[in-house]
Amino acid sequence: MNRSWTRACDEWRGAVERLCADDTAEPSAALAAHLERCPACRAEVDESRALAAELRAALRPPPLDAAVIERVVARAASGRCGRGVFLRLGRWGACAAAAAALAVALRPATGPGSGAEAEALTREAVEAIAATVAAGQWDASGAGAEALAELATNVVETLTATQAGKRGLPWGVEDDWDLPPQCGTRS
Amino acid sequence: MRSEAASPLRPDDRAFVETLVRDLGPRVLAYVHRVCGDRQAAEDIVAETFCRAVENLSAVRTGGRHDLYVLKIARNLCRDRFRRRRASESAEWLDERAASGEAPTDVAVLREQRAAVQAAVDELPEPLREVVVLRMSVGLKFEEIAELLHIPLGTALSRMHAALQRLRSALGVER
Repeated sequence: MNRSWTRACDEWRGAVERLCADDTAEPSAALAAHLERCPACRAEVDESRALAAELRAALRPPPLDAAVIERVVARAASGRCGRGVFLRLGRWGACAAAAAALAVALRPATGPGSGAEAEALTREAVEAIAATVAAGQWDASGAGAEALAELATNVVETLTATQAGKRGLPWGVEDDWDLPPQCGTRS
Repeated sequence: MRSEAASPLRPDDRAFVETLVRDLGPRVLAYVHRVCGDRQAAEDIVAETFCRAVENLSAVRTGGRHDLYVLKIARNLCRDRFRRRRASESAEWLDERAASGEAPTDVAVLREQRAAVQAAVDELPEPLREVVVLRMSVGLKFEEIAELLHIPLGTALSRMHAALQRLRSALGVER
C-alpha cells in the first residue's frame, strides 16, 4: 500500500472508514472538502465504492427456479418443519428412538451400557436410523450425521431431565461423544 | 406433484406463502448459500426456514419487516446446522447468468471477475463475510444488519470496512 496520509487524515479516519463501509452514504460538507484536498483518502473511498459495486454484481441473487419455489412452498405448506420422521413418532417415541439412535450412531466414549433397556433402545435405534435414511435426511457427506447428532443431543437433554431418562440412559448430555469416522465429521 | 387437500394452509395463505418465497427466497438463499453451505444444503435450509415462518404465519402477515423475521430464522438454522461449512461452488450462479443474454466474451470475462470476487468473499472470516453478504447480496441497511446480528451499528460498519480492506488486498485493488 502506498498512501500519503497526513495528520488531517487521522482526524477524518473514522468518517472515511464509515464512508468506505457504506457506499450509499453521503459525506458531510467538511468531509467532502477533506476528500477534495486529500488524494489518499479520496482514492480509498473511490476504491471501496468501486469494490462495493463489484460485490453487488457478483453476489446478486439469481431468481429461484420454479422447481425450487414449488419444493419450498410444498414443504412450508406441509406443516412438517424440521422434525421429519420424528414428528410422526410422537414426543416420547421420538425421544426414545433418537436417544437409541445416538447409542448406535455416535457410540459414546463412555459406553452405551447393557441390559434389556439398552437393547430395546438399540432396536429402536435401527428403526429410527432406517427411517431417517428413508426420509432422505442422511447423506454421505456427514450432514445427516451432524443433524442426527444435534437432534439426539436435544433428545438426551430432554430425557436426562426426567426420571425415566435417568433410568433409561447410561450417559448424560455432558459426556464426551465420538463420532465414528464413517459417519462424517464432527468438530 | 403437490396435494392441495393435504395442505393445512388456506388457499389465500398458500398464495401469500408463494409470494413470500418468490420475493424473499432468492435473497434468503443467497445469504444461506454464501454464508453457511453448499447450494443443495442451502436450499434445504431455505425450505425449512419458510416452513418455520409459516408456522407463525399470522406474525409474518402482520409484522412490519417479515424479511428480517425470515432471515432471523434462516440465520438460526445456519448457525445450528452448518456453522462450520463453507460455500464451495462459487461459480455456480454465473452459469445461470451466462444463459441470460450477455455476449459470450463478456460472459467469460464477467465469469472470471465475479468468480474471483466470490472466492475472495468466501475466504473472509465468517463475521465479516456475513455482513458483506447481508449488505451486498441481501440488500439490508446497516441498521438492519446490526439488529439481525445483535451487534452495535458501529460494529457492523467496522466489520464491513475490515472486509473491504481484506477484499481490496485479496483482489489487488489497492494501488
